[in-house]
Amino acid sequence: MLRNFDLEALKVILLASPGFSATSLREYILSQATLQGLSSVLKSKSKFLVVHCSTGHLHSLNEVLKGDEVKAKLADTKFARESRAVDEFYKMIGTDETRAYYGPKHVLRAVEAGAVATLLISDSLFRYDLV
Amino acid sequence: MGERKKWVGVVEDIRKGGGEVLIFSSIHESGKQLDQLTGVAAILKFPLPELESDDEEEGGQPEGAGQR
Repeated sequence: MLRNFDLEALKVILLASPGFSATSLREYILSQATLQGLSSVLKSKSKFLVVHCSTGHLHSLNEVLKGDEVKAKLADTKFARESRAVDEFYKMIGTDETRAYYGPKHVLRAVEAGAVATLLISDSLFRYDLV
Repeated sequence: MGERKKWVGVVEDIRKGGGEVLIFSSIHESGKQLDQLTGVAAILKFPLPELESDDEEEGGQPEGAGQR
């Protein structure tokens, strides 16, 4: 788990299962962390959120993500902020199209004018270097 | 100038100016949505008059000429 995730960067770690497995898993992780002195895990203790779901199948993930407790926790995360920004953008296009621009050329113009409140940019623009 | 470098500069400029920058992962749903909008979009602090007609090249303008 430590190899795969950077706990500092993660905001929430959801442990979901039917019954008590999720709780036990959380306890196991934390006790192992204590034993092995993994301070990065212990610091992230509050990020482990245990929730209930009806089955262990992948489609239960939807059920989990819709739960109120999870929603509240996720509301603060990056993902939620992003989708809120997209909503804002679409709303802005609808209400005041002189305050919502897209496309490289128009956005660059707005940047030059120092007018950008929120920039929404896809990492695909960083990945490909098309000189 | 490389495409990537240009956008890195833009991101830095906006952050310096107190604006918010959200970098979307194109793997996720919201990022895919954004990619359909050319991959970059901006919500402005104040209205800018229609940019639609600005097709002519602005060759000799120094950087940040629009700022006052």
